[in-house]
Amino acid sequence: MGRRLPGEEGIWVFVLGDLVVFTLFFGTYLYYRAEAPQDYDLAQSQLNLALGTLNTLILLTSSWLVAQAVRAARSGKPGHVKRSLMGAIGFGFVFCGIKVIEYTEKFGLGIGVGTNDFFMFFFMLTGIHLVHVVIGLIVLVMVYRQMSGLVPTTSKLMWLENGATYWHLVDLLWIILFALLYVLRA
Amino acid sequence: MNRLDRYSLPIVWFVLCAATLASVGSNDRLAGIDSAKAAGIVVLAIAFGKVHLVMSHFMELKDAPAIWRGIFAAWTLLTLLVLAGLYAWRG
Repeated sequence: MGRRLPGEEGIWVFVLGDLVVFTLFFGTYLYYRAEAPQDYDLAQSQLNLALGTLNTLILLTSSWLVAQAVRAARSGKPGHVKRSLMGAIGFGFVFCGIKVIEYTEKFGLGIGVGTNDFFMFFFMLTGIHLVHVVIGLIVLVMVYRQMSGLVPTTSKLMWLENGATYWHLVDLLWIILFALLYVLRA
Repeated sequence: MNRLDRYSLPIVWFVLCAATLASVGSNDRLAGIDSAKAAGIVVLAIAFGKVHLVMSHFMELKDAPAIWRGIFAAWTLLTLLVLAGLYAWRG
């Protein structure tokens, strides 16, 4: 089989653009963090590392299921595609639920966007990412609805590959956000 | 699809999860015995290692034309270097 890019080239150009924008966000965060690392560490200690770690594992699992759905579609196993997609969508919703729990926990402690610079970055970056998750879930649900029982056609497979590529972007952005916001210290 | 291909996705998923837990754990240990900056660099390197795995195996860039693989590999490496540089040498 020759080398090929899954989905349409347009989705990859979009992914690259989004990565560049997020690179600016990541860089800006580290730039300001370096001015007061102790303050950032103190604020960071108020995050729920367990929930952040759990959400990382959840998104990785969801991404894996989507990759599995793409392979199943190519092998002509529509039942397998739908099951994997359903699982991926389910984990995506769990991710959102945990994020809501986390935000609620913070708001309950009187912590918000204006509390300090760290939490300004935390709510902005995780909020923008959460919008990506919601868009990704809408796309995955649309793709799921297209996979109605029959062997996927070429255009349906293309949609699935586009949706999967976007969903993996959501996953890898979170991998970096998790490292920067929850784990990195000093 | 050969046998290795069939199992590559769950293996990659397992490595990604293990790396996540290792980065959380290594940060605690390294921060105690070594400089916190070294721990931070390890955390960033693990994160971008994970990004590379997601791109190669889940996004299937490993089977993509060289130009696309090159662009995304360059982004991964450059971003890691820029972020590690900002983290290590500023402040």
